[in-house]
Amino acid sequence: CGFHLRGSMDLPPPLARAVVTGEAVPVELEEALGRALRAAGGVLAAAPETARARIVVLEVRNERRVLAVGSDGKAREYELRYAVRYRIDAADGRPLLAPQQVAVTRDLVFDTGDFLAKRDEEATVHAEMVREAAAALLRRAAAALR
Amino acid sequence: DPWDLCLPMDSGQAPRPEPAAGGGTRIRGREVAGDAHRLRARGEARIDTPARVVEAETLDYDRDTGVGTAEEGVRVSDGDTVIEAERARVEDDGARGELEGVRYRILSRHARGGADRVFMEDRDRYRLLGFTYTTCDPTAEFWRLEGPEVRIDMARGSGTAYHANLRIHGVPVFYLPVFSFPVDDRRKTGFLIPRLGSSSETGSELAVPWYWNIAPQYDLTLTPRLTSRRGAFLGVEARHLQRHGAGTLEADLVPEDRLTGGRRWLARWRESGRLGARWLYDLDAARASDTGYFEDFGETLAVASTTHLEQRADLTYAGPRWRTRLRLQAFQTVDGTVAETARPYRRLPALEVLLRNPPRLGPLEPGLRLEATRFEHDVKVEGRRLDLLGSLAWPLRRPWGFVVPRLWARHTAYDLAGPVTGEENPSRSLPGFSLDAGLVLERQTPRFLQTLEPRLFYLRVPYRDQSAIPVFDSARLELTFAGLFRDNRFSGADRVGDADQLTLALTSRLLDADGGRERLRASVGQILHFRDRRVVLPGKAPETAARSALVGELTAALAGGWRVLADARYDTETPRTEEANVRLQYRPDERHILNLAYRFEAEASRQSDLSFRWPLGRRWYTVGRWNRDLDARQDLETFLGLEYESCCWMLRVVGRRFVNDTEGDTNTSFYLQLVLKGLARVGNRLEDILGRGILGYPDGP
Repeated sequence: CGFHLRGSMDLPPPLARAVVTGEAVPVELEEALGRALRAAGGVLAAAPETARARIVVLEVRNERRVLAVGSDGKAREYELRYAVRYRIDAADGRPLLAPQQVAVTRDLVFDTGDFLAKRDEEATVHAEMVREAAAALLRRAAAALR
Repeated sequence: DPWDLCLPMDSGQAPRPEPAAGGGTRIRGREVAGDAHRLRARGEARIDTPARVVEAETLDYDRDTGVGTAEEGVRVSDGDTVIEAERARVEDDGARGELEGVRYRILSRHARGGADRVFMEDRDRYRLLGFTYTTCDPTAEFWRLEGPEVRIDMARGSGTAYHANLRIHGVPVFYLPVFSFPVDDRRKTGFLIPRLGSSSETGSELAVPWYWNIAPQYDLTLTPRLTSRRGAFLGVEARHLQRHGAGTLEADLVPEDRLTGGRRWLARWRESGRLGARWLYDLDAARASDTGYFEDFGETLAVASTTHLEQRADLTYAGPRWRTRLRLQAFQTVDGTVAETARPYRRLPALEVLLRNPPRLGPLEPGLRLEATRFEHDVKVEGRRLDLLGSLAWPLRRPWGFVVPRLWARHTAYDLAGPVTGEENPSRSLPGFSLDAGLVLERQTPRFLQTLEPRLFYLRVPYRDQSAIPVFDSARLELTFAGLFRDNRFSGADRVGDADQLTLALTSRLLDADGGRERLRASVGQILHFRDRRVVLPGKAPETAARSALVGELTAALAGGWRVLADARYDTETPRTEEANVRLQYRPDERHILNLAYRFEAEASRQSDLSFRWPLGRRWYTVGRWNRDLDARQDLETFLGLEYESCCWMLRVVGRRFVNDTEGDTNTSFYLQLVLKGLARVGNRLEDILGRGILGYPDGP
């Protein structure tokens, strides 16, 4: 039916050695981007001077909204949303990719009796969302720069 | 554009100064006469100074003092602020001056008005005596601020009026002794417009916010509030914003609640930032005076539904290879129905050390995590827990797929205190193995790149009897698509699930051929279990099903403004749907929003949720939400309202009812909000309610 194994998802040359910059980039996003870069065959440059591209994180939004309340008026389900606005510049500061956004949304069922465990589950889901956002960011950037 | 509905302001009548080369003053006119000291221009005369241009029928300019005077049809402009006057006198290269009999317009703020006298104090600051101010069209002046004196600072974007009256349709509505208003979005010290409102919990109320702009990086808003049913409130909001971090302290205080008696309060303090390059801090601590606070004072469903308040302080060191976090965490339960034994443990403290940037050992990738926690509780077993997890992975990745075998070992040791029934120092050690493998297939269509991504995940963990271990922070994780690939079916470290299982999953994506934006993603997966799961939480039976539920997810951003978000869990053995969720959004442009959601949870609830903001013509909108529990046949939140927008004002009227306590009692409120664009809001803050209820609702103007 026309499907074939992906031939090359090689990173475009500038992304193969990139650095993450921006004001107050969350540590876990930086780590997730580093991991996603390594998984795609690139490296996270140790210093901006040695990088060929800069992933500039402009804004990170971490939202949590009540999706459903029970008939007792207490929250039963939350919607978590993690959105990263970014742009990509070349090493010389020339823009490679105009500002754009990736967002990941997840639902989380809540249980007041297991509050601490649910807080941890939220942290686990959050970490998964960060990884997913980092992978989506890189996938989009790679497709746009190829 | 908030001024979409206004008549256009003619920017052609705001000439920009065209000073002589080198920044000097230039004088022109049909007739120009004079000598080395004085010049007089007549007929379409103009003086161009670096700051402003002055036009008039007659202009005099003194070359020695730099003073210009103008009479008849005078117009002074800097390209944005245009002042028409009977007489004008400018000095100091147009930076300062004085005008009489004035009508003015500020194009960028869509503002206009008049004044008896105007003093231009420098390039940006004006003092107006006997002034009026409005953002309305001249043909429909709905509101106007007027008074003996106002100071406007264009550079700081603020205005301060003294002894001002706010008139609506000519009727004085508020007298404001000192009133600050934004000429743009920044605020300046002073009283803000009072708020009037009413709700079934607090009765009618009047709030008078006072804003203090202490310094560019600090501000404080104090809001005294008088309510008919509960007495006086004080609201406090203090903020600071610095290079290294930012913080907010919010508090609401009722010194004497007339309905329940006693002092009631809620406070929340948030701080986060960096100390140097590697240290981070994050603090979020909230506390309320009593458990009923949110039911009584939570103005929105989201707030009234709060069950726990968290007090947490994190200090993180993010080194080049390791990340260390010290956390202090406690909770206040503000839901009276939660039994004391069901309340969360305090973590005082929890230390986590994580290998964040693992070194490569040839083809192998190590992982290491250590957590040491002290758990406190008022009635349950307390204790300390040490949890160590080491792993070694051998990732093989190619563009068309990956294989990641991973071997790990985990050791968890306890030191218990309090009402311990069994062993005081239980511990648990066990290994685990997982194999994660996937392929990526592609197909190019004219508009999309379609992928097909099959994935296998095998997990093997031996059984260990864990019944002697208390449960501090473990719970069974909700099965979602992402949850098919987890090492442990429990959260926390108190239970490690035994497993011999294989996950089969398939994801397909449609990516834009240009740009790679994800248009559609569909995933489905299931776990096959090769033996029963005997590790359980206290009171639960072993899990014996040979297959997990089938889990599916779908997200799509379709043409024409449709978005779809859906997920479902389907038990293939019973067979029945355990959980399903569908959310549809139609948002073809900024003006139309329609949200439709249906959620189903077997043996728990079925809910429908409809919300919208829909235009009825150019100036009217209807807003509404209907969130219903279909099983309990109960409306959880309903509101319906109308919004009217004109050039310089907006009116929102909303009637609303929501469930606000565990007995299913409802709070019924009626809201009225008047927004005077470019000046203030009068009435309740409705944006919170509308923004939380209607996904995608635009922020207020």
